[in-house]
Amino acid sequence: MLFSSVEFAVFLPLVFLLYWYVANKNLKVQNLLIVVASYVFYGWWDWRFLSLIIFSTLVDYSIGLGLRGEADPRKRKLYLWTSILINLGFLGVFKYYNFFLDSFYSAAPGIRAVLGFNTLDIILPVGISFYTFQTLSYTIDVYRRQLEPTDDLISFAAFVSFFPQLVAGPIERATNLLPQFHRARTFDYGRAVDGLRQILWGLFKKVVIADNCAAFANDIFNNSADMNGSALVLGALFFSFQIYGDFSGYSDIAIGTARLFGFDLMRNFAYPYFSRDIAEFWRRWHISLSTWFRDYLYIPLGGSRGGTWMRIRNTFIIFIVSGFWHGANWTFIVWGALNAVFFLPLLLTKSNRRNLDTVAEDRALPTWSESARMLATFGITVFAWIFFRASSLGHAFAYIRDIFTPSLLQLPSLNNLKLAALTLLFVGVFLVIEWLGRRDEYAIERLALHRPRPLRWAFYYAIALSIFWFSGSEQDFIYFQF
Amino acid sequence: MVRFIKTTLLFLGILGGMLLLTFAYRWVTIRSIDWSLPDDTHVLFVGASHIAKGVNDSLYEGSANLALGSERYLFTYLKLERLLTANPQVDTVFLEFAPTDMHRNTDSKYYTANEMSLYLPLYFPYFSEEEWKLYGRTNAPTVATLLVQKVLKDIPRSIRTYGRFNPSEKQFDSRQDQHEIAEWLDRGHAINYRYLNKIISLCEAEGVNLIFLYMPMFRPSEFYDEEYYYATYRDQFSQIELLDYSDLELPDNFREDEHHLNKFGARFFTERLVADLQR
Repeated sequence: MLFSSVEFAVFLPLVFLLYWYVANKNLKVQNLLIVVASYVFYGWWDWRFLSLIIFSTLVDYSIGLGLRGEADPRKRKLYLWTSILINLGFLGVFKYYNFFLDSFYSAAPGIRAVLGFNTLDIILPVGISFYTFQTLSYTIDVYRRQLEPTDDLISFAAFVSFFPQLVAGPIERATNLLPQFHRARTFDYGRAVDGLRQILWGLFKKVVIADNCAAFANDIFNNSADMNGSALVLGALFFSFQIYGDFSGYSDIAIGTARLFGFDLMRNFAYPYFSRDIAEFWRRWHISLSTWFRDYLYIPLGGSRGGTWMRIRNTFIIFIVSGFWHGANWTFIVWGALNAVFFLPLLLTKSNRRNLDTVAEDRALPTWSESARMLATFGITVFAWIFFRASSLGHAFAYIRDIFTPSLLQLPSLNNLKLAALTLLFVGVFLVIEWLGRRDEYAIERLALHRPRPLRWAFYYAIALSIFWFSGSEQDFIYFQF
Repeated sequence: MVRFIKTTLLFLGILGGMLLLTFAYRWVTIRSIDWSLPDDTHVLFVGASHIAKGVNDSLYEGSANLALGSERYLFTYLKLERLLTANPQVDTVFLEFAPTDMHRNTDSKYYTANEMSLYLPLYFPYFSEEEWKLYGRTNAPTVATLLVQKVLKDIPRSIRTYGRFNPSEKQFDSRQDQHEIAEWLDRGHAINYRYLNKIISLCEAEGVNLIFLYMPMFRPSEFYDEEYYYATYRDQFSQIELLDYSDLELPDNFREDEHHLNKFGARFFTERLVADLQR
């Protein structure tokens, strides 16, 4: 079920009340309720998906227990690789089988008749890319002895299936989330209210910003051959805000929902469009995934140690794999590679750890230099998003080629230019709010906190009513397809 | 915990109150719409896009085109109820009667997101218990979400929101025609037929002459199961006169696409219809 649906609006309060009023006397019962609620939430899409997540849970739970009793390094490695192969195997079959087969056949056309394998008609289980990485983090951390394996199957199942973050992240680390299932949770008024506030903001980002931008982005990208240069630029801009509003909005709702149940999830977005360089952008965008790749792929490959060529190699591997994680299409691989190209100069000149603070942290406005760098970083990010959104490499190249024509200087060739302008105005207001709240975990965390309640509530009502009144046509969360 | 629940309920209660007020505003605005037409208007054209695009009411004196694209018979019935009550001078109603109205997804179309998002916000203040049951039985959460999302959007204030002549500038080229011949399945038509019969009964009760209109199509036998269509007409609706223009010879540049006329075709067809009616 979608977070922005009536079903979820009924589901959440029900689970909340059962959790704090019925199940709160016993930690195991509370965790069991989480498991049941999460399976209901997940099974709402398609009950068949449950078999996969249950199997994945049982496999990694067993492997964790196996690792606990095993001292032999070779056998420990065997356990680890079993987990990796099974989890990535699922991912490979459901997500990448058709892509690999089609790509192979394209490269060697005659081989199809020889091999005779056909593409499969498979539904991609929602959230598979997220929970497989989440369970992998468990087995890897247990293998590295950074985490004690759990023998509490219920807690582990709750960790794997925790409904707020199950289908689109944040990808939680076992070292952060699993211990929270072993500890008693007590209701905290401030934390619960904060959770509701973050849910409200997440809904605004998803329903008002993302869904309204999506209508234009879809129209422009789907009909890009008929659009002029300025419309294509607008399309890329709309998509940039669609994917940010969609994904960070979902993360806000996930984190806020988890807070209602006494859990702290990791932050996933930290105002990435205010980044001063691409390295900062990647420290602020989809943090749970980029840190996962850093800790479980980049560092084991040698990280930034070793010679220049090794650093270049590792950087490209990380970004390309990250691109590939997003989808089985060459466009995602090129998107990843492009980001590697943008990142490399900073890495090689050792400038990638420059902007670690928040921009204009102690000022109201950025300097001209900061503004220029933010705009430049945003510009190259938007350029890369074209590949992410395009249906194929040919589409992406044609899209870019058609931007750089004299029609770039004309008015955008859109049917509803007024509505597009209004949507951009909304995005502008949204960016101002994000800017004002850039020092906080989410933009409205403290924005009206010290005002009297009537004023504070008026602000929240303005956001809530705009969710109802200015919502775009319902769109799936983009990251559900990953 | 109790404080949290109380505060949350208070917040949601006030929010709910605001939303109810906006619903009430929309309800009252729609119910206040004046359905009167000029006194000399005695002919109505109603239905979906075939008529909305194909009949130029400015060329037919004393007529009004109040058709709206994709409109199913349930909504046409609710509209006609109001129109005939407010306009006793109306003596003739032309109703779109095409195979698209007879089978091909007629009932399932009531529940598509696109259709519901266009028609429910326009018509829900006119719903009786029957219409609420129809939507509530299968789609209550979707309907609720949709109505809340649309409550302040495009509030209709005149009957022209409910239908008008909507000329198209596009031109069809049959040489580019990529159509596929549809595989016809009888996907259920209970709702649409029920409201078509209600329209018939309404017109009878109001003493209005109801005429079915099958608008010009491009090669209709390739797109629709006309055997089924004509058999259904004969078996169930033969008491109503059918004006069948489906095979009217027209050049491509009079059509928007295979199913609709453009503004040139609308002019030609309306003038032809007027001439035929006068004979």
